[in-house]
Amino acid sequence: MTDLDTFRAALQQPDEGRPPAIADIMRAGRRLRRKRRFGYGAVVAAALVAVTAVAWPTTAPPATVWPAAAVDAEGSWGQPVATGLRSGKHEIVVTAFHNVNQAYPDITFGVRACAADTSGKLGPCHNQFDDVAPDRSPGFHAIGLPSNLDYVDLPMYGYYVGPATTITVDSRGRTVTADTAVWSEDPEVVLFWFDFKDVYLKPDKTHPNYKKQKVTPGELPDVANWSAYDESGRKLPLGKPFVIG
Amino acid sequence: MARGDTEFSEFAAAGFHRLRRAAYLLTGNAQHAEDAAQAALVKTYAAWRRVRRQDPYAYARKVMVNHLKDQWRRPLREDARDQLPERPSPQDLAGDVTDQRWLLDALARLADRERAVVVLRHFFDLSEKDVAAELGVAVGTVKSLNARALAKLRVTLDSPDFAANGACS
Repeated sequence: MTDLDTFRAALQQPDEGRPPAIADIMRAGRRLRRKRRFGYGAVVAAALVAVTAVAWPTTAPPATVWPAAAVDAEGSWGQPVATGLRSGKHEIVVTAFHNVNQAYPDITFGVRACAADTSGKLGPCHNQFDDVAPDRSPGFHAIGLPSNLDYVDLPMYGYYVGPATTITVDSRGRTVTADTAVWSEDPEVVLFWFDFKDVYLKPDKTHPNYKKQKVTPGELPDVANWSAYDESGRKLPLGKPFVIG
Repeated sequence: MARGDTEFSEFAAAGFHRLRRAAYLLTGNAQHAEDAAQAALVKTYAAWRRVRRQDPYAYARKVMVNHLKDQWRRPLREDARDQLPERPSPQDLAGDVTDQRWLLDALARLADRERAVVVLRHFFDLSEKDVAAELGVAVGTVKSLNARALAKLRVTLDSPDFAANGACS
């Protein structure tokens, strides 16, 4: 056995690699900053052009509220919502959690997608929070890529602040519609998620890890043109639809 | 060079090695670690005006951990083994503290979340509460992940500091 101090000392061995390429880092950082600004502007412009021509997508059916009594929602904030998606024997639910982090004083909550077993116990949960805009500013927030956590597939999900009843995105060349549910703790916050068949990862099947059944790099979802509409089909503000990851 | 850029350069030079070391402990791969640390600094620089007056190192650390969490995706199922190995490892860390290969092999036996908790808790020396906030999980989850990880690593829990935090229970 090893005592904790010895273990900690082993972790703290100095890093002996080369120094950072600061000029390259700053160049890439400037590009990223421009891309975020430009991407946001381009999406807004495209939305303004399309607003009079687009046919409103049909409203998604209301999501089922996961039975509260059956859920051990440790770490959650608000009522978990059943997405109707399954991964193995797990049902996937979405909800939110308190975010307490001094680095993000204006981000008080994030959203989470969890696997729920047959007894209603939640876990594992994937948590994400926004870091580009205050948590209740109008528009999209905390959009996460589809993922696999502890062998459970989780969808692309996030939240929208505003009266959105329909949320769409272009995924691999077609417009797909998210399922939505109003968060139990704030009627202005709309949780949304996409079906696995609509937004998904494509693993690189030629990668050596694929055959070894290990983590395999792959093609990320190709999503663009985030859109939100209210009940009357009116286009809503986008905010900063930045995809985490 | 603008004042903000000078500040960032100093910050990056000071923080990069520690970020890369943490990423190395999290991934066990030098190239991935280098990429993750650089990616964290790129995103930190992109947000520098917003984060420079807060805690840019905490921001960079969080970005890096998020970046690595994204690599946790497993498109294919793996054989989940949450049990201790049948036999104790013949080599003990106390006997060879400097054997980084052993350390990395031991860390590689942990689940991703256990490994992240170990690195945040014992490398960055964050409190359980801060680790929970960083990973977006409950404090109780951090405690149980930490205890399970240390058990797998066969690290004893008799440190006064550790015991004081209640993680031994």
